[in-house]
Amino acid sequence: MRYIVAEGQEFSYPADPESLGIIKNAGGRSQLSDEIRAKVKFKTVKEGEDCGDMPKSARELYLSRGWVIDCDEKLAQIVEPEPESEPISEKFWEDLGRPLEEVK
Amino acid sequence: MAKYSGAQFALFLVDAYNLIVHLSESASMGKEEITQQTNPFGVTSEQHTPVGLEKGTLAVGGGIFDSTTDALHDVAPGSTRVSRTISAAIEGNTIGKHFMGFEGPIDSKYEVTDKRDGLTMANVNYLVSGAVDEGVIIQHLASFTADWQTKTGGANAVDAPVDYVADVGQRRFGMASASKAAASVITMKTQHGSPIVHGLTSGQLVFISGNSLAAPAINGQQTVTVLSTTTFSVPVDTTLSTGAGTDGTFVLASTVAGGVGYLHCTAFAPTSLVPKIMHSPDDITYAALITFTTLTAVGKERKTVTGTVDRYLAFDGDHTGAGSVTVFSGFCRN
Repeated sequence: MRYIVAEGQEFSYPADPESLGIIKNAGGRSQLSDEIRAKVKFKTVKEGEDCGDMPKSARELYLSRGWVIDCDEKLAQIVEPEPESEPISEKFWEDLGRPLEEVK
Repeated sequence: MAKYSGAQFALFLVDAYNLIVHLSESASMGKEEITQQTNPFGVTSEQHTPVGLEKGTLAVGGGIFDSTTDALHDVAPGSTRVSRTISAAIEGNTIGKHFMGFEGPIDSKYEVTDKRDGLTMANVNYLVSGAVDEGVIIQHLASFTADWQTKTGGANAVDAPVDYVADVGQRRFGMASASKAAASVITMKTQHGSPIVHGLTSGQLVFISGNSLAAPAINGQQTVTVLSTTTFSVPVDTTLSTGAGTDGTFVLASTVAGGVGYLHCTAFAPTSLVPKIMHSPDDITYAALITFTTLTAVGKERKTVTGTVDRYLAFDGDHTGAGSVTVFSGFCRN
């Protein structure tokens, strides 16, 4: 699965699972002590950039709002083939040259 | 609610000027919804109908007349029909405290009063023809010499993000019950004979407390799915929960109608500053809510935004070059 940042959006989030774990244990970014904060890494992503490593809960919320784009889903919509039409039957060609009354 | 005095009134920003040091006696600010008296003949009490207009008023009594640059004397007389951006706070220059913002053409009445045995005083009355907003301070007026942000202010730090759930001004909605189901259904409390209308939108975040369901509980932050104007569900499987599911209240943890951001820069020395207001549903992942125009000098801006505004609000300053910048920012939810 590949996720990208939608137009006009910008996100800041923990850069790796270890950082995410530390923040969750602390109860949020605002609750980090100076000492612990020095161990945590953050990353910023802007529109069009990959954000597949964003924490899952936020990604799902932002997907539902259209702030993050699921590329696979979008690609599938673009290349989805048109439904095939029914083949023209033999009877159609036979009926084509006959008077309307006979066809009915 | 805490009480406040003149000692906490620490902020009166008009465009890029902080006039607080020039005020000495009184200042009042207000937002008034204009109504028209609509009671017909034959009734014994007045009726008033809103006409859909608001009026902002600001009055400064007993400002100290001062002819130095940036003082009340310079800003007030030139104010008439000039569009100004004003931010004023009576609860203190502190992140999370409330402020009022005004923007639009401002008419002012300015009086200078000479006294035989005292300082010359100046009274100013402003009538605002434009926007009046009430919100919270995201970045208190302070100076910075490098990049900064308030997302990681530290435990109990003064520069932490603003948590909307902790806003004492919020309405607390009463719940009657929460069901035991794959997605627990909440029914609103009845008041004056009918259930309270929750006013929520599917996908909105609420913070529930005091409900009696346990293991698992529904207390805490939840994403709602609206079922009717008086019921909604939350994605918690409470089929095996203990407790009757009665009672509880909730406050909003996100809003859906956008808002307005205010920015004032009263001193500027670096090359540039990109000021942003960020918001977050969980205090872990933040998204840019408002990116103000890049500053290259002192200035001010009021900027509107539509759509969802999440629970936590923080400020981010991207500072380039050497020197100090002094900035204030606030946000008002719609």
